[in-house]
Amino acid sequence: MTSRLAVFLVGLSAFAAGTGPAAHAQGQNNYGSIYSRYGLGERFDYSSSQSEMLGGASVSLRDGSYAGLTNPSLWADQTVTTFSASVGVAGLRATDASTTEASRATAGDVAGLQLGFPILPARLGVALAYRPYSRVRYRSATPGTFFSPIDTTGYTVNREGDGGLQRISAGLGARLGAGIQVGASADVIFGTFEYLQRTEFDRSSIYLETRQAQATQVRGVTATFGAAGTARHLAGEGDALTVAGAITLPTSLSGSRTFTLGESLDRDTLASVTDGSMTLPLLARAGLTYRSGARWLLSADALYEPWSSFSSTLPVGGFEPATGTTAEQSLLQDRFRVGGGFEVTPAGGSRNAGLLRRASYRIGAYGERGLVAPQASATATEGTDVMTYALTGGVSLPNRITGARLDLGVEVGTRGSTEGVLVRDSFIRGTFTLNFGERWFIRRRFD
Amino acid sequence: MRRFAQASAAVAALLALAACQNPTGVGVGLLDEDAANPALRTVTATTTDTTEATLITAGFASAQSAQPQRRVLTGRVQDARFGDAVATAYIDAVQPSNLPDGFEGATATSVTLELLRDYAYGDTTSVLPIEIRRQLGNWGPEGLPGDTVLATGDLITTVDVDLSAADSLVTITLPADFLAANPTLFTGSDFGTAFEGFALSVADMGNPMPGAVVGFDMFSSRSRLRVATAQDTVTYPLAEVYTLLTQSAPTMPPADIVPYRSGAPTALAIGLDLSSVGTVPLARAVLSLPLDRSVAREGSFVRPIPAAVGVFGVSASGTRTFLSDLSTTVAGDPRTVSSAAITLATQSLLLGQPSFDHLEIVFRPSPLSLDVFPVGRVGTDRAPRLLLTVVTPA
Repeated sequence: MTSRLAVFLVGLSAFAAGTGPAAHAQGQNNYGSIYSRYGLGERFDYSSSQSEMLGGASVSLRDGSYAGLTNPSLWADQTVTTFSASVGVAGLRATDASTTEASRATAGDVAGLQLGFPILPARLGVALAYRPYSRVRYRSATPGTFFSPIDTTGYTVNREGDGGLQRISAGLGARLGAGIQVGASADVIFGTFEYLQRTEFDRSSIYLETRQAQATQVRGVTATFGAAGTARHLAGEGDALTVAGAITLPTSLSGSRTFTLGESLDRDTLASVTDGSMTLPLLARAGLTYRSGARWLLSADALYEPWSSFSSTLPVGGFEPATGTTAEQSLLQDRFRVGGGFEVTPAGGSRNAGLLRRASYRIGAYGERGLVAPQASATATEGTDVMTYALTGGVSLPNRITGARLDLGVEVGTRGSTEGVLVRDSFIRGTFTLNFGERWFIRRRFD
Repeated sequence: MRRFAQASAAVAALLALAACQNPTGVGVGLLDEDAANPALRTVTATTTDTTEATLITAGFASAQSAQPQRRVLTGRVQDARFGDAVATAYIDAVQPSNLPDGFEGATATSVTLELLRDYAYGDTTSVLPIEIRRQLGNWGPEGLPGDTVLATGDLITTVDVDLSAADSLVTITLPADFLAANPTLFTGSDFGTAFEGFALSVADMGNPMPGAVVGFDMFSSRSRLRVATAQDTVTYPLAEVYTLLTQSAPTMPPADIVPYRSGAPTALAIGLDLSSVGTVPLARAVLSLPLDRSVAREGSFVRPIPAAVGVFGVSASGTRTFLSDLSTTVAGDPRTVSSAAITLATQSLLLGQPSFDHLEIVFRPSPLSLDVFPVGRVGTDRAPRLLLTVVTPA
């Protein structure tokens, strides 16, 4: 079994390693919401594929097959070594009030990679994970015509965002007894995001594509603390209610911004480098999950991230730091999110039922107030909330290999509105996750 | 595992869909930076001067050689606007290795030098009395400076070349007395060392002014030396060629154009001040050279304009970097040239990186000519200029 696990892990790693660069290599074809321009990009909160399908509810989601990443205390539940790799692809259609033709974009990336194992099964567990913290990937293309004394050419001004921040976490979860468990993780946040203005010409053999780019590289460390309490046998035999919370501390990121400008053929035309720093807000979550045996569960979650406290010495989308003559200007606001979902497994814990009865079916929804409140018009005195509403769902298919599950998820929703200059996104996102679990580090009793 | 493989294939298909994009201007109102659009900036030359350059007029009469020279010039011309010029052509031939039996060492009965005329500068109605002399002393075209005077012998013969003649082939037949004095000079096995070629020149005051300078095509198979004996006639291909070209300063230079002419150890330096443009992305840099084509023909007096010139960037230390060729044969004025190299070099300048100090217009070394490049002086409408397509916020 261990060799089969090794083969499987190698395959998963190759798959994850392949899809990540593949998605990244698409580069200029990897676009998403215009709202990713704001702050440090569109926030991602991947916890597990199960959570993705349950409206993002994650902080109290105790499950032996998944080690949710948002709450380190849940890592104490691990009884087997778990590995998961998740990739997603999203399609987006954006409209606004002034443009007749909708903008369409697609993007794919790695949603998360996670490895966890128990030190003391169901008492003390460790997890190591990679997942995006944010993604900057917008593109707005404005065509025009340029007349010169020599010739005439069409051109397109592309304003694009690319990159984002990554997060690598490592930590411990421990059960203290009597249904109480706690955990902590260290989170390294790093990455590069770029604001690019790229002008391409129809007569590309004569006119060179020009670029003006601001590439910002940041890095920093924060910590997440979580706790969960579980009460059992409340309404019946085998049920459990878990209440949990987690908080990620505010942290300061150090960084540098490089301005480049020139033609696409000669992008090393370095103009200047500016050092700076920025402070990320805390992230607090709380939630509860009710599980009725192995057959069904309900989970709900709330998230709070006060981006109104964000500060930076470098300008970012929606935020201008104070200078000698002007005060700080910020369109950023506190981010809220509420979500929840329902999961049912018809066969419960039976291993003898058919595949469709042993599969878990999940449905959920969430609503989110985004981290930015842009002004809908030049005369607006205050910003307009960017609300996201989405339905989530999917299926988790068990495999003959014990502990292995294939999760297929989908998310459909809308973001924003077409008021003034605002944009309404309609999006659909599919996720594909391989989860694997097997006992490691168990001493053999017989040779 | 098959189910996993099928699912992986499905996801791969989904990822392939990520290439589908149709970006529009949706959301442009949310972006806080100003849109940068293309705009034209014109930078007029601050200086147009001739500057020193290397001149090599020698070469080999073969396009495949490392130092080809397609043309030799000979003649005299008076040109008050661009300067007088005197040219002497030196032409050597090579004896074929596969001579007919009995040819080697036989008495030559006839020797003719045939030259295909392909160029004229000056009065095209002129009849040039070209003097042919035997060249003396060893010489070679490699690295031969353009002002080298080669030793020549006594006058062998004089041939009148009518520039208005329809037949462009000039045939120079060596006189019988020369052959009688040198019966085996052209047939002997020591031809390569005994004979160093002919010098072709036009005597001072030998022709009515303004005269002309004529050019002969050395790559043409019709340009050759023919040696005949009583039994055979053998064609000797031309080999080493050289033109000694001396030019004097114009006595009445044109007021509004730079009297820049080929065949001299000079280049046309164009100075530009880009400081007013600023640090901006550059999509295209076009070098615009308004040429005064009226100087190309004044009655029967012609001053050819070259089909193409080279554009170089010259650093402050004098290093020349080729940027582009500029064709002048395309209709339209001003003549313009643009290349990625010119754009990138100019972009570097805009970013404060001194890629070049000034631009230079340089004539091609082959075919040798007295072509003129009548570009306007600084301060005139025909001054050289850079047309820059920059991308900058409005």
